[in-house]
Amino acid sequence: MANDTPFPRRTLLKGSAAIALSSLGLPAFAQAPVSSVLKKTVPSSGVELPVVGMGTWITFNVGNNREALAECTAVMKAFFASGGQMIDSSPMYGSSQATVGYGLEQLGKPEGLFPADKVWTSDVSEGAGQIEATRDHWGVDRFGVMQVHNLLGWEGHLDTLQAMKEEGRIGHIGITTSHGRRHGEVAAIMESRPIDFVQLTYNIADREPEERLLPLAKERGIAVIANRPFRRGGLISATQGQPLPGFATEIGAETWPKFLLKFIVSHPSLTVAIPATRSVAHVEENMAAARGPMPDEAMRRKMAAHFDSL
Amino acid sequence: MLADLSTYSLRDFLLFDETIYRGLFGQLNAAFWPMAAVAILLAVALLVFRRRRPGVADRGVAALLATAFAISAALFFFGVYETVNFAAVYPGWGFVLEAGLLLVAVFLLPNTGGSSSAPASASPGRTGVWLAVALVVYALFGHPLAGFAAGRASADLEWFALAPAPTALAALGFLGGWRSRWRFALIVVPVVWLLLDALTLYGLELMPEAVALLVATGFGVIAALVPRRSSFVETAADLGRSGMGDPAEPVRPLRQARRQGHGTRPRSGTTGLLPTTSAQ
Repeated sequence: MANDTPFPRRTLLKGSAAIALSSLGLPAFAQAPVSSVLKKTVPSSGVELPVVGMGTWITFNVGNNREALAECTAVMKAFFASGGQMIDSSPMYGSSQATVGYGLEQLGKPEGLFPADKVWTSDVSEGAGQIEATRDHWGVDRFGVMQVHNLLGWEGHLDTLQAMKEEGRIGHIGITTSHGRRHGEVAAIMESRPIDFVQLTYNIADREPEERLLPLAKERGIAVIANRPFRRGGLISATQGQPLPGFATEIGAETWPKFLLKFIVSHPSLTVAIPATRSVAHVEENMAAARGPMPDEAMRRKMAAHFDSL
Repeated sequence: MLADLSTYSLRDFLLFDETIYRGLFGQLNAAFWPMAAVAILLAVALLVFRRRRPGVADRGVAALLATAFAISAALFFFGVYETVNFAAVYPGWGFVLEAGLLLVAVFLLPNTGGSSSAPASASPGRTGVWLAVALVVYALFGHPLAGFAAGRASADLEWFALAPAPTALAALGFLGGWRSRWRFALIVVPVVWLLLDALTLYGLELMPEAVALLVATGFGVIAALVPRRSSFVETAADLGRSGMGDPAEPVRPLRQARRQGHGTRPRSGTTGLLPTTSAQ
């Protein structure tokens, strides 16, 4: 899949018109020049991040498999070359952290790297030590965001992370959940604690966060990371062989993965989606979804309706 | 948190994909294949030798199985598997326990004759014996071939004494030929692992392999549960044909043995626990 797919003249004109229209406060398809990666801002800090990052759940848990380690390194290389910045991992993901560290050692650390990881222990006293071990795995000095994984021990861990942030040892703090679990508790934390990020499952099939969590994130100035953008490949399998709707060309979504990703990252409250892969072709296709015109709210409704009709 | 458990599927508990799982065995084989080759040769030799000296052979089998379980624990569970699954240590310790129990069987069981109430000459019968032999052969050769037929690369096949599944299957097969009731204790760890492994394969959507493993495990459990026959009249001929006893040693009916004052205790050198009637 090409990184810089030339867009039809019609799309370029639409993009220019959209930019002009957006300056008038009117709905627009495009939010970025067609050849550059769309970025969104972390509300609490102003840091800009590309709307497509990379997850490492399952795909990077390869142990000492040399062939797979090489594949992961190649994926990271393609990811960085395509403008990617956020890589997300966790101690829960087996050897994924070490795999990321291996890749960074081979490739060098790009300037824009935004390391995102998690603390995952019920024992709050072990949190700092685990974070230090994670830092060793990555070989980085500082994490862009450190999150409490699946809310495990969140009360104590958020205190620890807040202290580390004030010391400048981490950039942002956050919490994570997945599969639509514990949204009530997540909302309560978002309302009561000063977090910078919330990570949750949001995709064209799992749209429940639209009801409360995504609006709440916007209201509270919390950046949102979308995990399971493809439901671990399930959405791609489900759409395989299905024709794309005609309007997909208006947003440059010539494949289902791009269609599915553009739906996610075009939500006004959504900051970054983190698809995971061990395929260079797939990571390039994922990053291509961060380019070109993006659907507005009306188009998003059409996309959701079309998917629901399949 | 507990309420969340109902929202998890089996796949959510697997931290790796099927390519990486199969590749674990490739790493094992690349580094340690001579161990598997030697172990398989020994297993075949013991299977053949058992027809002539079943008591000696069974002690040899217990020693071989103890070694195989220990190797599998060290190289698979605490080795390659732990690199992708931090929970691998738990079945690893199970295999260590099994190795220990088999080691006990090598050194202590021959000296504790009489702890089994089964007559020394009781056997699983011809069907049970052949089922046990077939399972051993399947574990040594059929299981790897089944993996190949299911699409595994030849480098990633699972071999006895390295990979836990064929090791556990071979144990079920050998133990299925034992008379001793200790076999019930010794099949627990292998059966538990085989069920866990089948679940793992199912979660990875490797259905043919999962089904094949479940079927083989089922046969192994059946082999262990087949009642040991206590009839002496038929047993002698069966023992002679199956190799479960020494064909040169006549087996006297129990009533006759009592009349001659031999009681029901196994003769010196024999045990009620190892499937032999000959002096060692």
